[in-house]
Amino acid sequence: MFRPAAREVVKLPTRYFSCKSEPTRAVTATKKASREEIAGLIPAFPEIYPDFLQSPVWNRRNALKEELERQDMLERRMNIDIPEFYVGSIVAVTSSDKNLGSKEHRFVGICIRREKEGLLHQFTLRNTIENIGVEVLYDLYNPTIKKIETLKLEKRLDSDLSYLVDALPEYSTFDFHMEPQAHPAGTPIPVNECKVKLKNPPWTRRWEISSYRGIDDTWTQATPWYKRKLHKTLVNDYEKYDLIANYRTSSTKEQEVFVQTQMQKFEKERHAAGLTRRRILKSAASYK
Amino acid sequence: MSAHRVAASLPRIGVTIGHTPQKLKTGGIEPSRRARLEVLRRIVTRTVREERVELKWNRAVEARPYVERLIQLGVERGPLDEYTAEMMEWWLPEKDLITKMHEVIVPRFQNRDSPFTSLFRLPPQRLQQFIQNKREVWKRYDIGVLEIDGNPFPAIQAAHQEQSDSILDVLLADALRNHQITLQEKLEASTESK
Amino acid sequence: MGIHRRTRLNVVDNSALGKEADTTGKLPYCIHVYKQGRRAKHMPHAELGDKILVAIRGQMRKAYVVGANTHVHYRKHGVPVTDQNMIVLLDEEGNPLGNRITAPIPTKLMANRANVQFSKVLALANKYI
Repeated sequence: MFRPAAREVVKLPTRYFSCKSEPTRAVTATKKASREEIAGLIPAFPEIYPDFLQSPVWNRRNALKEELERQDMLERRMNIDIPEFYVGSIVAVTSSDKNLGSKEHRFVGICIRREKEGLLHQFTLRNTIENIGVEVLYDLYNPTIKKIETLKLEKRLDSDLSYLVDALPEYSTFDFHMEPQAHPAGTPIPVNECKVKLKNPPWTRRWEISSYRGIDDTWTQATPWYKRKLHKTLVNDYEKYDLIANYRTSSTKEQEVFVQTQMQKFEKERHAAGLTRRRILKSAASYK
Repeated sequence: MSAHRVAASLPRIGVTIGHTPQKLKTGGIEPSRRARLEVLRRIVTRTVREERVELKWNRAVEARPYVERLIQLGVERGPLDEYTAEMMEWWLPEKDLITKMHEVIVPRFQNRDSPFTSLFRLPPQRLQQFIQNKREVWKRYDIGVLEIDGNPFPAIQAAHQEQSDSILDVLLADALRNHQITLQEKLEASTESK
Repeated sequence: MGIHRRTRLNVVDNSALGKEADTTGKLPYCIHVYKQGRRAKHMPHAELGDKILVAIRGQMRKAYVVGANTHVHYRKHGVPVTDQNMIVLLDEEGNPLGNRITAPIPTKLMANRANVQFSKVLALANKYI
């Protein structure tokens, strides 16, 4: 005997709900605590190792490619000592040059840019030689680089100092025979809060649009023609409040922890093999 | 590359985030990225105030990561952090909501990972738009409910029942129920006859 | 964006012509690049060590590029980029017009030593970067 009324009772009351993410009510075991437990992690990892970050373009992130490149990068870092330096630090690079009699070329300058992720990571040094501004771009993992030294470890207010092109030459003049200044281990990296004076416009780029903090008051220097022109431009200060736009381009804590543990493991293996004592994962600020 | 680093890295957000920002209808305001943020700000403010809001599905999906990120900033950095304070001030223009965020909502998630919110889909609604020459124009809306977890309201979804959709199980359950009902009837009949 | 037609240049040798151009403020500009290209309209851009034709003080002169301001996207590892485009003027025979280069020049130019004309220019340099 079949009773349709009984069939009705069986029907789920929540038939029309589709729950994309069921609230994790029972979860008390927290990943947050476990992240903090791992010893020896560097808080400022993305700043010291921008080459180990993921691409800011989401659909270019490829786990396999990153993994393979990371292996090569670690291998290279075991052969050459790549010190910690930031945009704003003064760096000396010695590279081999077949054209010179000494077969070696040394360039000193302030690091104005660090770009790209992975094996293609680049940094640019700038110096003024006999009143001519010179910029040299180096690939960090290029095998022609023999030695990288940090002569002065410091940061500036911005993470991109491209505007030094349009600044007065004294802001990018550094002595080639500069003595390296040792940074006391365990102390925070000093921030040089120097504000740069720009030359009169026209400039190579419109620096006043991006909110650079290291430029000294661009508005009063601007000529009336520029003031009229800038008056009409689009103000996009609100872009910084777009939390998810930032999220899309930045790296995540989980990824950083993963990379750092991998680096620690690699270091340990090499030390155990007894071939080298070189440390790859290190930070001047959090040194113990 | 940006002029200066915006935020130090935070953990991953545990909800679906599209690879590109979606366009939202910005009734009245000229459509722009600014208008989109303005719409999202209203939704976020309302969500923090009411803790459970009924929205168009696409808006709910778009606003959810922003709510998640705000809570995450509170959990990871705390109210004293400069960046957190700036973001809270912009996203929650009403001052009491910032207090609510730090004192009521964030403590719920102190020892938890994302997701801090839930999103449910309601049955689509069909609403009459206007009548033109005896022609009725109806429109269908996908509705979602966005809520912050741990809110005081009764749960949207019923507790999960142990139930199988397999035909054998359904027939068996029916058979058992029928059997029970027949037994019940027999029992009643016997008590009546006595 | 590379040196091509109408690009303004700075003379860095001590020739009278170059100094005159510098003091009057009427900088020489490129009018032709001596390089293989598909069509005149699609003239290739001059790079470090290329020979170009420049217009200077109402004359046409050949010159070598000894310093180039390259766009950020086109820079190469270890090749110095100067803020100005620097040239050394040549006379009709192809010998350098001046007898000294007053600015530091990139070492990459030394790869062109085999070229007889260019080696005469390199002989005038007193500082490399």
